[in-house]
Amino acid sequence: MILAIHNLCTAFPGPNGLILAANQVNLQLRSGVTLGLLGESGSGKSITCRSIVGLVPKPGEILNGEIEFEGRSLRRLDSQGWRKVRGSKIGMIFQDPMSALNPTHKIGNQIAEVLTTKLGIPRRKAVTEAIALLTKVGIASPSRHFHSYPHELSGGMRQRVLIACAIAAKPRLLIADEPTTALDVTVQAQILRLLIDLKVEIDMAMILISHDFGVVAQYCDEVAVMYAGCVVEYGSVVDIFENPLHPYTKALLRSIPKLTGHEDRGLLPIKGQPPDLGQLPTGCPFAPRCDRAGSACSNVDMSLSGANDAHLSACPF
Amino acid sequence: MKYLLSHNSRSVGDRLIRRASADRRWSRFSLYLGLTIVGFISLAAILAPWIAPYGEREIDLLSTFQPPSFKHILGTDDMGRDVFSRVLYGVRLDLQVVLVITYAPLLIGMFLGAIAGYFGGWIDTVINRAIDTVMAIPFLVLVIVVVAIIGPGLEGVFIGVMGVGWALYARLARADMLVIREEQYILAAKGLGYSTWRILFKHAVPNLLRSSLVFSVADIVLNMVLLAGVSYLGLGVQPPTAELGVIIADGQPFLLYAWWITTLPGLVFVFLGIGFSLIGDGLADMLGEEFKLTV
Amino acid sequence: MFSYIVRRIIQSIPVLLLVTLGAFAVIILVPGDPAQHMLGYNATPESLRILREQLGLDRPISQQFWEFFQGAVVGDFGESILKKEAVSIVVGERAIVSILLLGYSVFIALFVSLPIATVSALRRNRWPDHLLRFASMITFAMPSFWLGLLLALWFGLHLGWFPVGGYSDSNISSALYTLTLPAITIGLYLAPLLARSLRSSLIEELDRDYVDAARGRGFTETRVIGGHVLRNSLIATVTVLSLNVGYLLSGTVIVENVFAIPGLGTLIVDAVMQRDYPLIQALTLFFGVAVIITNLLADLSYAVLDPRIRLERKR
Repeated sequence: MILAIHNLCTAFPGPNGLILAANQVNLQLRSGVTLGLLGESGSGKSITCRSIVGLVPKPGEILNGEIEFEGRSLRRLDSQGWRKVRGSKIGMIFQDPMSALNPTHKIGNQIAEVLTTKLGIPRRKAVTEAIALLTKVGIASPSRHFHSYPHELSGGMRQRVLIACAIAAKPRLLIADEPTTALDVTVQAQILRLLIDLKVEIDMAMILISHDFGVVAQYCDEVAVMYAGCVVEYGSVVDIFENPLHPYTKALLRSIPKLTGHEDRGLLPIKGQPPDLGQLPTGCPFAPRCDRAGSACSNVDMSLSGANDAHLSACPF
Repeated sequence: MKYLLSHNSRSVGDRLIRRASADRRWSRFSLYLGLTIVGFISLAAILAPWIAPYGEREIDLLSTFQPPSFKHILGTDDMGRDVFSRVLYGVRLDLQVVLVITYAPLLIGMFLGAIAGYFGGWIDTVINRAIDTVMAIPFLVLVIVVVAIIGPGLEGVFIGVMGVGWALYARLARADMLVIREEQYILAAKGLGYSTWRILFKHAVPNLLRSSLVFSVADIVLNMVLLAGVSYLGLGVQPPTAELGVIIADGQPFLLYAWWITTLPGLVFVFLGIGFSLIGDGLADMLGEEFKLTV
Repeated sequence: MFSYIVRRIIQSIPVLLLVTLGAFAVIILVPGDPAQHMLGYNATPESLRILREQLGLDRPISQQFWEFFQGAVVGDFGESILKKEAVSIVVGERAIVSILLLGYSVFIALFVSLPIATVSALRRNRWPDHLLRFASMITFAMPSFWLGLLLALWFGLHLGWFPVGGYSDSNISSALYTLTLPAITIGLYLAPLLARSLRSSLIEELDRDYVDAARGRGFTETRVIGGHVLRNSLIATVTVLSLNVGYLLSGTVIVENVFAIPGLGTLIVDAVMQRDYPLIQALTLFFGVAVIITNLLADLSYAVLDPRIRLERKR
């Protein structure tokens, strides 16, 4: 087990009290596995991942829970401890490649900076290595692009640069926060392919955050579905797709168009509004939109359970 | 939903909430504190003719250089004039002048900036060049030049500041207008076939007011400092009229043995300035703007 | 890049011309006879006539402007009535002192505001931040001449560390020594402005994704702030500083008068008091040109520092 999250709660102060962006999240990840974190925007995927690397945006804070990485707790790390984990052990790729690179530094130098500071490689050698990394992430004429500034590159190329930064120190775990959302559809597949190839080559575990069922189905081994800060279902890709247990997962599956499907089901949008995290009902947060909701739903504690440990759901019904 | 929060996490949560509401309370506190300070000092200034213990120019050669005492709260100057009374009259004059030289340029500048931003084209070019030119000459230098032309006195300050002050507001309003004119509600108003002037003044201008208003509070302080500075140089308000800059300048030769003549009026000035800044800070927070000391 | 520089320079030409026109207009706008103002009412008609001729007042306005313009281009503004010397020489001598003072002051202002702004941006809405807010309010509300007098009273008269006024240019260290109190005064006058704008641009930068991305790469906080954030926010601060060079110069004029520093600030006040119109014209133009050139340089340095601008302007 490379990563284990127990009961993670991360909160932000809201106008009427705390907003729990991550609510008792439990996740486990074995090395070499790709976990898809699936959910709508605002479901707590990003915050969960930012909690892992200790970069919860202010004024948010982790309230509770335990995050274990390679058997050691990340909760009680000081800044020096974090320095040894971030970049070297856990790499992170942020959603928007437009803004995740420093606009005033050459991209090559931004990669080389990781090599010199994290691996202690001397500056001149770092430059050659950075160029090699640029080649590896598929950037054409890398020695010329070494001297490019971020704004001179396309979104896809910038994301490749960010990937190069994230894997430069060969981390054990790579967290990719919607790495393709801001990109053209044609580029998306290339970037995801690249991530998977690198994952295999470096032998990393990976968390891939996405709101796209298709992406998760195609590239991940396991899936955790999130809703309103809670993990509502967890299982292998096959389990989730063939045999969804939680009503939210089912509704989500029904709401996406299936180009390959032969049966003509028609699209069923999920009724109601996405949840307001400041005013969640007691019990299951999905209950107001669920067609099978009953009075018992307000007593659900959202802990995961299931017939076998490999496929768990938060809905006891 | 049931939260399984430990005792520790509950206290973390409480701290988060407390901090967030403390921020909100701070901005309100800042506004009220500022209003109190400014209100108190202004009230005293307005009532100066009635509450000042001595006259503005009441000379008493038998009690020169009196240090602060119950009889003379802020002491007396080289001609035995009561510094406290002079400060009251001085603030009274300063406030009157400063309000005029702040808000008249605000109106002119907002009008010109709004037009420039809304219409663009040659109107924008002309107004923009005028802004650049006016801003190219340091404020104080321009006032000094005006004084050189028409002679020392308040007129020079009025003309000088009016001639320059509008440029800042025009720049602010123009920048805002460039954004606003692309907004949906303006496009919608155009779609409804409203007249240009109606759109401009009913729909667009009210939205320019916020940033100008917030800046104007900082501008009040800037203008206070400017007026006092010009008067200190002997180019603005002329002695023996009481004005804070004049009072401070009067005391300068006697700095060593009558420190109160310069120091204490300055303190009143600083308090007043802090009061305005607090108002600006609080106001900016409440309006969701940033309180900038410059444009 | 090159075309941007050229275009930016061309853009400032109309402003330059307007400022020249404004400086020229000073003498035209004086109500009554400028020569009479300058020489007083006891002047003989003969001396008045000579002065009018010297000032060119006997010629048509268009010709006067043309002559003024020609003179301005080569730096010839005639002779100062006050100093009995060529205006350009007087201004040149005084300008060196003022520039030295300004540089010293900006250095002090940066020295004060840089650490304060950084700390308060990092501890947003905590006590260091509130402290900065409050401290900047105080210095912002202080008339610079009053602050100067306080410093003179304490460090000059009581402690005797620095001279209360005057300027010695026998060597650079004594020049800096005599300029210390005035420079601190102007520095404290500029610092709140600088600190505030630096703080807000730091906060803006800190909220950008690349900061967390850099932290996510496991860089030290010092590296993230010093290597990435600070540099990017300094770019914005350069603009603020250049846009407020007028404000800065205004402060210098006053502070020079407080400490009797023989710079341009004392010169212009003397010139106004003595109604030395050629000198006033030259100084007006000089201040205007100084501001225009500063803004130009700031824009250019902005373009050099920020690669985004470079490209944007290239298009």
